[in-house]
Order: sequence, then structure tokens, then C-alpha cells
Amino acid sequence: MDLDETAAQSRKRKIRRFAALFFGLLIVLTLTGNTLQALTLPKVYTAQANRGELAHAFKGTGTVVPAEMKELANPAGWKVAHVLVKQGERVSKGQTLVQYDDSEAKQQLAEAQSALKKLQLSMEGLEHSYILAVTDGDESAKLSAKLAIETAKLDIADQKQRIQFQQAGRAENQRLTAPFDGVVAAIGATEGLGSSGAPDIQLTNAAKGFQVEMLIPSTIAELLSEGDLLELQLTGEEQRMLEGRVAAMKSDSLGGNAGDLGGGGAGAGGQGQGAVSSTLLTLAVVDGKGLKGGERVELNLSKVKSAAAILIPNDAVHKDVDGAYVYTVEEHQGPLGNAYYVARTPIEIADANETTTAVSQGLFDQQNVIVNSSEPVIDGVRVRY
Amino acid sequence: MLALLFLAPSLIGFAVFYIIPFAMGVYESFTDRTLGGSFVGFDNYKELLASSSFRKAAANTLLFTGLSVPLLIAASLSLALLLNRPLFFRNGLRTAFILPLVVPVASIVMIWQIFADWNGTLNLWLHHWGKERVDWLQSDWSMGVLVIMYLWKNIGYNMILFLAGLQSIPQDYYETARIEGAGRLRQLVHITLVYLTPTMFFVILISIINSFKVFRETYLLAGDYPYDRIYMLQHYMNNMFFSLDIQKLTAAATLMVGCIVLFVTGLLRAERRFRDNME
Amino acid sequence: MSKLVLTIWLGVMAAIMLVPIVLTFTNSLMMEREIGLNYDLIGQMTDAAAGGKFVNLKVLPDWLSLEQYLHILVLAPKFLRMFWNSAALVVPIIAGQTAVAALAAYAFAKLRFFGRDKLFLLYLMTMLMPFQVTLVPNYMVVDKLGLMNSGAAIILPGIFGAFGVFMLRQFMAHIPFAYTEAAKIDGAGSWTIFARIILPLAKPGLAALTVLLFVDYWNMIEQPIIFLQDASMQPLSLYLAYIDKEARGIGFAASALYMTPMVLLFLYAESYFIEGVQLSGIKG
Repeated sequence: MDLDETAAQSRKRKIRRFAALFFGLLIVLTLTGNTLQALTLPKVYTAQANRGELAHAFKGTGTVVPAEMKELANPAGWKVAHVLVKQGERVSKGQTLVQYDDSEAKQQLAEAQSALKKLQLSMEGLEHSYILAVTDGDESAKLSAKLAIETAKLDIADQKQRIQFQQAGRAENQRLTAPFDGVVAAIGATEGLGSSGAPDIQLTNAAKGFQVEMLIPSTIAELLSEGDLLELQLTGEEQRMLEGRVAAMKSDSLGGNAGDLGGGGAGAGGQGQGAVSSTLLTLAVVDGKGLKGGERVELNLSKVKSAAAILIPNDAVHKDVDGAYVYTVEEHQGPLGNAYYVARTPIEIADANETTTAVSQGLFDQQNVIVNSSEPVIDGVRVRY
Repeated sequence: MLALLFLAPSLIGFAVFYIIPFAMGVYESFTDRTLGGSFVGFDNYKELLASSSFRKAAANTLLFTGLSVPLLIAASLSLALLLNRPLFFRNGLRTAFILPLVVPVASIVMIWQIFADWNGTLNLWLHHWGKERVDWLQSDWSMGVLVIMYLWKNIGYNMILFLAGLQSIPQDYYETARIEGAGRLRQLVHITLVYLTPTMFFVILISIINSFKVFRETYLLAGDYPYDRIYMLQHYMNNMFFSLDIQKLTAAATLMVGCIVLFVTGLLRAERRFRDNME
Repeated sequence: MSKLVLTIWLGVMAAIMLVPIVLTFTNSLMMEREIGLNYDLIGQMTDAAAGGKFVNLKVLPDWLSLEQYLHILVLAPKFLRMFWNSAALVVPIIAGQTAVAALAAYAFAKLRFFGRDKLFLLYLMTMLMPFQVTLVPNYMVVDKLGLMNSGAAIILPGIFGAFGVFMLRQFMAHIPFAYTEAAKIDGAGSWTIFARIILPLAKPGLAALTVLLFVDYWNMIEQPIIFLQDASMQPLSLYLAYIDKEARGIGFAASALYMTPMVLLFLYAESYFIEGVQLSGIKG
């Protein structure tokens, strides 16, 4: 009986201990439920897919530059004597822009003239020798004197021509004149100094107008064609609108392959703008009146390419060999409440810009797509949401 | 008056939640609509008795109780008789038989489902023996499944009641009988069963209560609208409630109560007569 | 029949009785996938002609795994919430009914008053009624008291259940009058007798009542269906009723956890329980 009693007692103690453990465990799990869930399930952040139009927006600034610019160099490399124009000055054709110091040329001319004089003097000597030879009747002396005279005559003629040439060159190189009507864009010449390597004057051609060049993403460039008119906002003191006509587009060799539908670059999980290929856009300013060149302009482009589609952030788009896909959150309703699972959903990308991808197939409006998660998720993983 | 102090808490709650509601229910059963209806006599009862689903439910309940209670009593009594003999591990065995009582139905219902399903284990066995499979829950067999579940759950409870009854029978009665040359069967009928009768009344009472509780098993196993054969009065009443057919429900309830009262009164009278005879 | 043979025979029977319980525990250690593979066919009408496709109850899992438990305890905190819902309903009912019933039972068992036996008969009759009988009026009362959709709608009727009064009265009737008479001679009042003598002696009865009430209410289905429409308040028993094909994978673990408190309580109070039940069954 006693034995039974103690056995029963110890059994009760065991049950008590087990019960305490059981309820303790349940209480602990109840209190820490959310924390434990957080530890075991990755948290995902989602964005709602919305129906809309994908606008390709671009905002960039560029500088107005003249369409044609002539660099006028110091023709002879002489020192600059006077710069007669100022930067930005309007000049007309034939106007003298820079005067050069021709003292060196003068010196050379004087030297050449004195050389000619020497030659003429020596000519007189030779003639005198010839007369002597004729009077002496020395035939051989007479012949050699005659040859010398002929040679000297050629030398004199040469020298005279050289002087003439030098004189003409001096007149020409003494000044730099404007080859056409235009505006002085830059002055490289400095009075008192010779050529510095840079052109002495940069002259813009007023007849050819102005243009703006800027790099834009190829995705937007595709939506433009030559001849399109775009609005440009002139910034700075004078704020007004300009119109620019697309004159040329040249894809920039640095930025990825141009054939890729832009979505490629953007869809790669937004790995930076570096992957986006760009195009050099040249806009001819339609009415360049009052422009000088060098003004800053701002270009605001917003182009819609495709019809309305489902828009999702680029961050949500993933790609692999099977194509593009997103992870969506799938809800499983259970008696224990709703559980959320990651589901891989293949999509067809219609278009994309830097931030947003337009999906033509695979998603419906208001669907939630995962843009970010506390740890990497794959298809079928249960998550917190 | 002193007794009233002890009784008061129970009596108040009991009245509010049982007696008054029941009286209201009886009243409702004679009116034509809930709250403030006019008195229509036995119209609701006529309608109720004419309703085939009620008759079906009543018949099923009666059949189930009539089938399962005697079976249960027979089974638990035999078990008690066996357990009352010299045995190893008597306490362990007793525990094992009572354990189903404390296991919540909801937690073992899945096992039963897997067992009795169309594709279930029971049919697998039948298949092994080369027999056709039976849709246990969608045929008249469903009542059998319920009876088994009922037996499984309640056998332990009745068994300990009988054990107590058996242990209260003085051993010298048996010895006297043996000396007088009575056989095992005679001993059983004339001593054991006779002296067990008071216990028996109680067991019958408890068994009936518990047979009404089998609604849970049915509900868990087969839902709101189970197969015809296990569509019990409780299902009927529950469904009447949800379809807001209050009059029928209260009429059915009153009728059921009437039957129970009659039965219990009869039982108690029988018990008193039995006791008078014994003395 | 020898003792050994009988023991073995009863042992086999006992083992059969325990099969559903044991299977629930062993199946709760399966992985959800295994459950899915094994029991997928349940509830599907397969063509009889196709035949040969059956579901066998698996005794042992292929791989032991706590996956189901992890799932319901950690990943789906709703299970625990419902578990506590159940507890929040059951504990007040048990405490309340035991207290209220002990008082009333004492009056019925040891005090004399007019109409005692008639009143007790009323309790007895009520105890026999299925829940549905008083469903409508009960609903109206609960509605009038403004208790609809709150735990009180279940707890209050539970507290005043007749079963406790019946059970404890039966038990207390066995306590010999000698004890109470002796106390009365010593000048003790009714309350003192109740608290000092009857209650301690009624411990097995109280234990038995606790276990039986626990079994009954831990299991309740009917009341919450009607009175608790709000899913967040429903007890676990209802959830287990809703286990459908999808959740079967975790159903076994949920069931196992659900029955554990019951089984523990029973094993702990077993001897009291048996004594209590037995005494309540013998006419006092």
C-alpha cells in the first residue's frame, strides 16, 4: 500500500512537471509568436500593380551652341598687335579682327631689298668686267663675264619676285578678317604674344543658326524621329521657350546594345543607370534670334509609347533563361488564418523606363508584387506580408 | 431558509438559463410566430408531425438510442465483469478503457474519418477479403459507425460505474450460492444482476444523456446535413434554428422533453418499485 | 479462464481502444507531405470500378518530424489563440459550476427543505435535455442580456448547468450524517460544516466533476456554433471540426495538442475521478 502510494505520488509529480512544461511551452510560444514568426519567415514588401500608361520622362540640360563655328588661326604665326573685336561682337564679312605685328616681315623685306641692291651693284661690276673683256678682246674672259651677267640677272629677277611676294604676304598676314557674317565666339589671341596653339578667333556663322546637343536614354530616343519639334526652356536671366527640331540622333557606343528594348537595361533589377544605353541627340534651334551660344537650356521630355498596361516597379522584375517574371504573393486561406506564399509569375514586358516596367501579360490590376524582402525568396516560400 | 442561501446562486442561474427559457419555448411552440404571436394550439405540432424530416430525425434518434444504449450497457457490463476478476495490471487496463472518455471527439474524428471513408482503411480490409467496399458514412451503415464511436467513448465510464456496483455486492452471497450449488449463470442472473439494478438505473440515465451527445460526433464526422440515417433530432433542431423556423424547433423540443420526462418518470418509478421489492 | 489469458485478452481489447489515440500521436509526427501522400484520397469519391485505391492508416511515420507542431505553434499563431479561447471558456465554466453546484448539492444532500426532491428531479430532467431543446429560448435570453457573441453567452449557462448539482449531490449523499451531526453538536453552523467537512470529503467528487466538465466543455461544438459567430473567439473544438483537406497535414498535431491537457488532467486525477464517478453512481 505504501509502495503504491509513493508510486502514485511520483507519477503525479511527473504529470505535474509535464503539464507545467506543456503549458509553459504554449504560453511562451503564445507570447513570442510574432517574434518567432518574424524569425522564421522572411518579410516581403510589395507594391501594387496598377493599370496606367508608361511615360518615358527625361529631364536634361544642354548648352546652345552655334551650328557652325569657324576657327580662325594666326596665319603666319606672328605676334598679335591688336585685337580689334570683343567676344560676342557681331562682325561682318571682311571686317578686320586681329592685327599682327609685321615688323619681322618688314625686316625681312629690307634684308631682301638690300640683297637686291647688292646684286644690282655686283651686276654693275660684271658689266664693267665685260666691257673690259670686249675691249681687251679676250674671248674667254668675255664669255665667262657674259655668263656671270646672265646668272646675276636671274638672281635679281628672283630676288625681285621674292620681295614682291613678301610684300604681298605682309599685307595679307598683317590682319585677320572675318570670312563671313557672324559672332565672335571666342578670342584666343593675346596682344603681344605669338600663336598659342589655340585659334586666335572662333567665329560663329550667323547664317547657320544654333543647336543643342545632349545625351538622352535610348529608350526615349526611340520614341523620337528626325524632324520632331521639341520644346526647350531657356534658363538663366532670360527665361523663354525655344523650339528645337530633332536634327540627328546617334546612338552612343558606350551604352549597351541599341537593339535591346530598353526594358533590358531597366529590367535588370535596376542595377544602376550605367546599363541604360544612351543616344546623342542634336536639336537645331528653330528661331535662334537673340541667341549668342552658350545659353543653358532645359529639355523636359515625356513620351508615352504603348497603350495602357499594368505598371510595376522595375525592382520587382526578375529575369532568367525562361524570361522575365515577378514574384507575387499568393494567399492560402486556412482554418488557422491566411498564409502567404511567394509565387513566381511569368510576365511579358511591353516597355520600361528607369523606374517602371509596363507588363502586357501575366499580371492583373491591383495585384501585389514583391519588390523587396528581408531575405532572398523563391517560388513557394512562405512569407510574412 | 438556510437551504435557500446555499441554493440561491444555482437556482437563479438555473432558472434564468434553463427553466425560464424552457417555459418560453413551450409557450412559443403554441404560437404562430416568434415573440407576440397569437395562440394557435397544436398547429405547430401537427405541422411538425407531418414533416418528414422531423419524423426521420425522431426515428433516427430513437433508433440510435434504442440500439446504442442496450449495446453499451451489455458491453460495459461484460467488461466490468471481466475486469472484476483476478488480473495482472488491472489499474492499467482500467485506465486504457476510460481514456477514450477524456479524449476530445474533435481530436480523433480524423482517425475515424480515415477509417470509415469510402477510400478508407475499413474498405481496404474488406477489399483484402475480397468483399465489395461499403460507403460507411453514406449508407445505413453510418448509424453503425456512430454506435461504434459511442461505444468506444462511453464504455469506460459505464464500466467504472458497474465496477463500483460489483464491488458493493458482498462476496458471501456468491459463496452461499456456490455452496447451494448454483452455477455461474445462475449466480450472474440472481445475484450480480439483481444487486446491480440500482447502478443499472443510473447507468441507463447517464447512457441516454451521452447518447444525445453523439450529435457532436455526427456533426464532426458528417457536418450539418449528414446522411439520412444519422440525421438526428439535434440536427433537425439546429437546422430549424438556422433556417429560423422557431415554431417547429420549439415544438420539437417540447415534444422531446415530454418524451424524456415520461421515460425518466417511468424509470424512477421502476426503480422505486424495485427497491421496495428488495426490502 | 486463467488470469494470464484473461489479462492478455483484455490487453488486446484495451490496445484496440487506444488505437485512435495512439494513431493521432504517431501521425502528428509525420511530415505534412507524408500526410498529404497518405490521406489524400479521403473524402474523394473515387470510382468503385477503378478500385484498388485505398487509404491505409499509417501507424508509424516514415520520417519523424516536428514539422506539424512547428507549423501550428510557430507559423500559425491562430492555433494558440484558439487554444486559449478554449481555455478561457472552459476554466470559468468549471470553476463556476463546481462552486455553484457544490453549494446547491450540499443543500440537496444534507439540508431539509420543502420540495427538495421535486426540485432535484427538475434538475435531473434538465440535465438529460440535449442542448438544442433550450436553444431558442436560451438564444433569446442571451440576446436580451446582451451577451451575444461574447464568451459569457457560453460561460453563464455553463456555470449553471445541472450536471454538477446532480453529480455532487449524489456524491455528498454518501458522506455519513455522523460527520455533520458531530459538527452540529460542536456548535458549527451550516457554512462551517460545508466548508470544513463536506468540501474536503467531497474532493473525489469535485475532481470527477472537474474532469467530466472539462471533457464536456473542452469538446463543445453546439454552443459556439450558435453563440460565437466571431471566428476570432471560437474555441479549438470548432476549428478541428473545420479541418478540411487542405489543413489535414497539421490536423493531427493540432488534435494531439488539443487532447493533451485532457489526458494529463485525467491521468493526474484518475484515482479521485474513478472514486468520484463510482460514488455518484451508487444510490446514497
